[in-house]
Amino acid sequence: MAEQGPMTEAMYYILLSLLKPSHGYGMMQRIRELSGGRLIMGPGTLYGVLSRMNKEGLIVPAGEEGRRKNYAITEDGKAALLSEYQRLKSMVSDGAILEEDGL
Amino acid sequence: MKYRYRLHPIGYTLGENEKFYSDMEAKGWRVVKRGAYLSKFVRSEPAASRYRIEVVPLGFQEDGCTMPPEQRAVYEDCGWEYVLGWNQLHLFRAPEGSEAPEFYVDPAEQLPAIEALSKLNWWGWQAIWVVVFGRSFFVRHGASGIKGALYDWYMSWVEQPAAVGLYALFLLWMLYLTLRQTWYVKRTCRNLKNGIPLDHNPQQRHTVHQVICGALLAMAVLCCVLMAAQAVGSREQPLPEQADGPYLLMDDLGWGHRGSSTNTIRRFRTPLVDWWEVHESSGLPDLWMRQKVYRMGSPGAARRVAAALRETSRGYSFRPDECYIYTTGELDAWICDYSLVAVQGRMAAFIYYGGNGDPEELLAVLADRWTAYTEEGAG
Repeated sequence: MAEQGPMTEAMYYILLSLLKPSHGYGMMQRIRELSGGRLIMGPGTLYGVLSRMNKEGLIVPAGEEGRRKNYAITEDGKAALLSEYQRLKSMVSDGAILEEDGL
Repeated sequence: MKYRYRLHPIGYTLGENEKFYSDMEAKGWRVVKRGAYLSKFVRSEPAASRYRIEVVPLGFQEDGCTMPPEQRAVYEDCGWEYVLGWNQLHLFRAPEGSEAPEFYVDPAEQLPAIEALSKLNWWGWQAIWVVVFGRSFFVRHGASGIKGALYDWYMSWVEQPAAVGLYALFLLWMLYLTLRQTWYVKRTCRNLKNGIPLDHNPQQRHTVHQVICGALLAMAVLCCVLMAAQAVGSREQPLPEQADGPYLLMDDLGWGHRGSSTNTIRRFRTPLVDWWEVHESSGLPDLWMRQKVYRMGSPGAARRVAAALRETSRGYSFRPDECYIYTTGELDAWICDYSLVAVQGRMAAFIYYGGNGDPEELLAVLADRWTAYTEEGAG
């Protein structure tokens, strides 16, 4: 798998939601829960990102429910998600000086 | 009335199409089918609805719709109702005020679909232009290469300027659509890259576009009227006993009188030329004559027509490389066996015939006829 650059917010939350395999609409609902209602993903955005991540091997199809196709995160996807999580944690940690300066 | 048909906006103007269908439903007409130019509507309760178009690259699906079933399921699960699919475009509807989310929250996410639409349409236009130009220049009767095709087009312009004008307007219209589409899609892509979402409710009236369309349509209508007038005015008529124009009869040449009932003449009047098309037959299989005689606006124009006739008459056994030049008085001619091209002053002609008639004697009679016709003031 090629080295991943910073993820978009959409990619990050889709991979998070796919820690439990799900179909498209299920992912959208899970993402809304995970983000506390902050992130409402459009179906066009979701489907576009799913297609790209499927090609990159971060997710795989995992069965079907009628017309709905389920996806699951791959080991590469988990590694990329973890790497992004660590990057974001570092960024937040580096930003702690904002609180020290009383901003 | 149960159904209504309306012209819809061109496909790549997504926002205009979405607004069009929303406005129609607000008036009580819901779309059920979309064709290349017309959409079909059925009577319904007026309703405020959002219409959105998704662009999907062309592909084959089992149900004939190019949108993958799992993609369509996602949109429908979100509260969007699938209305119809046409080529790459798929139309969805949701009631105004419903919780159905917009397809794209980030405008940049829509960019790949619009770019794919742009690329496919661009290649589509290239294919159309190749077919049109190939048909126009290489599939022409009597044409020989580009030069022959251009002479063929010139003669078409001389003989039927309204028809050629209409075709030229069609090409101009295609060129305008190509350029407009390219500009429109590039502008949309630029906006999406800069974070400006697609406008689903455009208010601008595209005045320039409407003026251009109106002007082209008016000119096309004028061409059609002229074509109809020319067709009516040039109906085939029986050949008169004595020539009433700058053409010859077999009697004038001493070849014997006509015996067939299929001797006809057609007279054409256009802004550029008056011309006559004569078919005469004696009833004997080897004795006949066909003529096209042109009275042009100037001697220069007549010379150009003569040059074009030499190139475009190959289908009538005229071979420009094998003819010889003959001059009598002010008349110049190119003779190839029993077909010839002649020019004198404003007059030009192509004549081919069957029988043993001497072409130089024919030309002498023709020269006298044209001289007399000119002196009468008619030429």
